[in-house]
Amino acid sequence: MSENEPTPRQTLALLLGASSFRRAPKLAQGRAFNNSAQDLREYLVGPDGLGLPLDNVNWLFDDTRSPSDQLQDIRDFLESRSIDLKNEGTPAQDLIVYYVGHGLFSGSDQAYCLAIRNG
Amino acid sequence: MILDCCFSAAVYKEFQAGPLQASRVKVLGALPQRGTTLLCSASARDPSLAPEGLSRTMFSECLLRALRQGHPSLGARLSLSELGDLVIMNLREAFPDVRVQPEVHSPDQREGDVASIGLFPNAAYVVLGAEDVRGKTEAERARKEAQARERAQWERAFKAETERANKQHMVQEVEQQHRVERHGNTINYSNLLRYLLIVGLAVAVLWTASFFWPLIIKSGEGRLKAQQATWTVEINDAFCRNASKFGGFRARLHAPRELPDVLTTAQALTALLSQPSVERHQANIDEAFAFLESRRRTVPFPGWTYSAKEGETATTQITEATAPITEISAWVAVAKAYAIKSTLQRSDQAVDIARSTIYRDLDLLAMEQNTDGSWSPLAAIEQAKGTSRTYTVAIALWAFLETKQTGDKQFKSAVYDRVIENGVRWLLKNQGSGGWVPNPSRNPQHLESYLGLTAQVLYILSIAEKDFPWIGNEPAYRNAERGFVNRLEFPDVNDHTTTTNDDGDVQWTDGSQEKVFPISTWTFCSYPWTIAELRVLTGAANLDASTRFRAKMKLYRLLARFPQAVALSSTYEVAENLYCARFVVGPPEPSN
Repeated sequence: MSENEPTPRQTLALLLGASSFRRAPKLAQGRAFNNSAQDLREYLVGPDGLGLPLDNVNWLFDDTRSPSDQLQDIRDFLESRSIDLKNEGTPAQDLIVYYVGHGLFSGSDQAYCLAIRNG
Repeated sequence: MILDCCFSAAVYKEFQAGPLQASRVKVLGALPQRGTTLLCSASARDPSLAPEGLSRTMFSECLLRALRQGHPSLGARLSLSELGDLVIMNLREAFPDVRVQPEVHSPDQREGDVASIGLFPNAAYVVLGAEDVRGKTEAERARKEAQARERAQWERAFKAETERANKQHMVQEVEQQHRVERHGNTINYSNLLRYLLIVGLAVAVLWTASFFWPLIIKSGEGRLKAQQATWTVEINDAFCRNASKFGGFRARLHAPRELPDVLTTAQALTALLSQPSVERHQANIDEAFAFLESRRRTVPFPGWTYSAKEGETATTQITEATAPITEISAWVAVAKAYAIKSTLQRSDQAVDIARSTIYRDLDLLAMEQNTDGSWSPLAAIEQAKGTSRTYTVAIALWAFLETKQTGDKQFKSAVYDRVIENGVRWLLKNQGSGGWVPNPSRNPQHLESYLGLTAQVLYILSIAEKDFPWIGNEPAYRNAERGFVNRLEFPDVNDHTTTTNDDGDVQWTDGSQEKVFPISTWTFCSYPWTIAELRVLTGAANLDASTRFRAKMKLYRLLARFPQAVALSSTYEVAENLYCARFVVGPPEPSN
């Protein structure tokens, strides 16, 4: 196995998105979003899937915290896991980010945004 | 990065710079350093779909299928690029009619394109010995069979779900048809009992309501009547005696140090003179008319301005500050018309002033009318002539109509009649989709309809209709009346948030955050003129019975909750309420 070949132990995953949008009632609510995120998580950690260690997966789907709090959580997760894995001699190599929910253009500059639950 | 959402490929552009920077800085140090690849469910222009009947989104359904099943012709590990191809293949198979196509992009390739790096185990990959050809064939056959079985199973489940939904729909339709047929032939006693119960309950509710409803209306009317007496006292309290030589009315109630102004004085006079038994206010009324005349400018242009204060130096230059305001001149003329119509007993001073000056004022208004029949607020300023304002047109028109209705022969004039007809035509022509808008020639004000303004315009048109019967046959007028009744809603003043729109107008948003009521002034907010207009509509002979009935119901609804807890702080608000209330509950009780 070469140094850079992906291994489950050296792969981290972030699961983002939401199935309901309390502050934006006009966006459709989606049970399908929740099922998709759950099933992908099952694949990522399942023995017949990618087989990632549970510690390597950060589940932020339907998280009710503010975007900046979630961003801080992501940073803390990536930092702490990177340090731990490095200390164990298997530094983190790959990051899988999965988002399911609503993408929309917002604000005066029509920036592309990914909606989260936030409250 | 896998994104399952509408327009997800748009994130590629955002990835380059801009808004993503902030979050990038926050987590950059912690990110792996190889590069980035995006697997997006849709292009930057397409929505992502989650069809009903499918437990997952369309993209994630096909993504998980690709991850779980893999592909026999691919290597031991699937790259994001290969995964993207498999998802597209699955989508085409399962949803042949859908045009949405996932996309793979690599915005960051500092150590080569990571889209080609094998990351996910390929479930269909089997390690084979070089010589085990027979084994390979069997394994491939078994794999293909398993794959075909799984696919057939998935398709069967999908078809079964669709069929089940269709069948359920059909069964419901058939059952409905049977129910209709059964009812045609035989009597279903349990249903009959249920219907009887419902009808009985409805009758009981209506019977009970018939006792309480008139009481509620009566109590609303009682409150309104009591309010009339309070308003009359409040207006008289706003009178500022001997402010200089003559007294007038001040703009704010309960502000004893404030000096009177012309617009408020004209509005207060109109309200007081519209009441019977005005003798009690005779002294104030006489002084107020003298006040109006004392504040009239003659240079640089005749008329009244907002800043018409005593001792102000006249200037020969017409500016926005010195130009007369058309609607103030019009309000003064309305007040004068009411003075002529009123039954003043003790003194004729006010009537004398009104009679001797109203011609002068109306001639000026007629001269200021634009060729299209409208009026501009600053008619003396040449460049302002294109900025017609609905409120200005309505009040100017009202001045001519009230004067005509004094019945005095000397005010009958073919010129004034033409002025009125042209003004009416302009109003009928310049409506918004939801009623009248404040400034039809300005953007974006031409888009916002105000129910209060619509009520006031319709009320003034209803006065015009008495002398000009052709107005009653105008479809634009009848449609506006129907539209007003249909659209009329009352904001809940106890459950709202106050905000300001882009144009600086104050607006209320109701508690459910669903309805917005623009209220730039009290007049526009609605109640006084809504009460007057609803009362007119309940008796409008040319209007269809159904609209008349709805107008009556809405008037009752308004009365049942009247007066709501809106604190009035301006004299003109009180004046408009006092003027309009008499349409519903008649003259106020005399107060001493």
